[in-house]
Amino acid sequence: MRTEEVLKKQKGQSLVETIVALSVLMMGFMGLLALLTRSLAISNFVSENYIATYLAAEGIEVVRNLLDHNKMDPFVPWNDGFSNGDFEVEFKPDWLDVSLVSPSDRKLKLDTRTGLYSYSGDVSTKFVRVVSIELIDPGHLKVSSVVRWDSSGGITGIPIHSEVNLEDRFFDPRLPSSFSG
Amino acid sequence: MKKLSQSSGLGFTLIELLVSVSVFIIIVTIAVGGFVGALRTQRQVAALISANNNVSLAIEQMAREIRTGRNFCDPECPSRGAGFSELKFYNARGEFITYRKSPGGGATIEKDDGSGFKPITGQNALVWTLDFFLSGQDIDDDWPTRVTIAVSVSAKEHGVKEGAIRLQTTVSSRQEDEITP
Repeated sequence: MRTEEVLKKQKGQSLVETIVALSVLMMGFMGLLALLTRSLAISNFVSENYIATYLAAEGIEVVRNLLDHNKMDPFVPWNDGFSNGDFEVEFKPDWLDVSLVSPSDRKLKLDTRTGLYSYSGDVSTKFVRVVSIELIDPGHLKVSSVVRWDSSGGITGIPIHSEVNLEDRFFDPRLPSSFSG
Repeated sequence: MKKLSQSSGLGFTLIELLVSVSVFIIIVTIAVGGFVGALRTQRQVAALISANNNVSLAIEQMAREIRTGRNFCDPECPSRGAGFSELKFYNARGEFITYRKSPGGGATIEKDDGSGFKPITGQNALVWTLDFFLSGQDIDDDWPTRVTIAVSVSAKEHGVKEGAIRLQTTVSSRQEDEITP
């Protein structure tokens, strides 16, 4: 009788031990799985950052293009066509012309046929691009190109509000530079 | 009594052995599966970062050369609006430069400066498309040449075109086009 009781006690203890050990291991693996999901989400986020940075740089470069176009005509003011405010960069038709239009909070679309981001593509993306112009004085123009997007936030599922903000300043090329010296 | 308890003790040990071995096998299987998954994910993430870095550097190199380049319309003027798989121009040193994607899918970006095509991205970045969209490249127009570069790239570890990330940026040349140098 006594040995049986002892054996029963031992058996019960080993079961509890197994459960405890299993739960500890499970917790460990939960951590590992969370890490995997998170690292994949973060690598996606890195890719989105690359895309957004280049799209923001494109905004600055377009302003540069428009200003250089003004510079080529000596009868046109260097900052002709620019006014204070927020704008969206619109390429059309067929990427030949570019202009700044009033913003309407549009998301960029991807044209899967050409691979171009614009407002006339067939796949909606999460990126919103706004180019802000500030005429600081007649010979000084400040432009900031901001790309905003909501990144999928990994395991939490809460979107991360992200943005890339690039800024550049342009000066009247026909005036002697006030910054030389 | 003694014999009975001994035999019952042996029976318990055998069952315990079976249970513990199967529990051990299950746990080891899960552990190895998790570990292999972790390694694979880690490799994918590293490959994606490496591919992004590669293409980012190539875009940067092309953008810098385009900024100081001219005569994108030489020797023949490509029809406007459509995307081109090759970009030909003269760089700041007067060298005739060609950028293109090497033939085939999952390829590299190549540059020819007169001594033959050489890859400027590594083998770990699979470039699926590389297209150039030109505007203002005619010599007598009043626009600086504007080049939009569209690239789609995926990491070697993913290896599928569908998972590729699409990068796009626009560069405006600082030089004015002139008659062939």
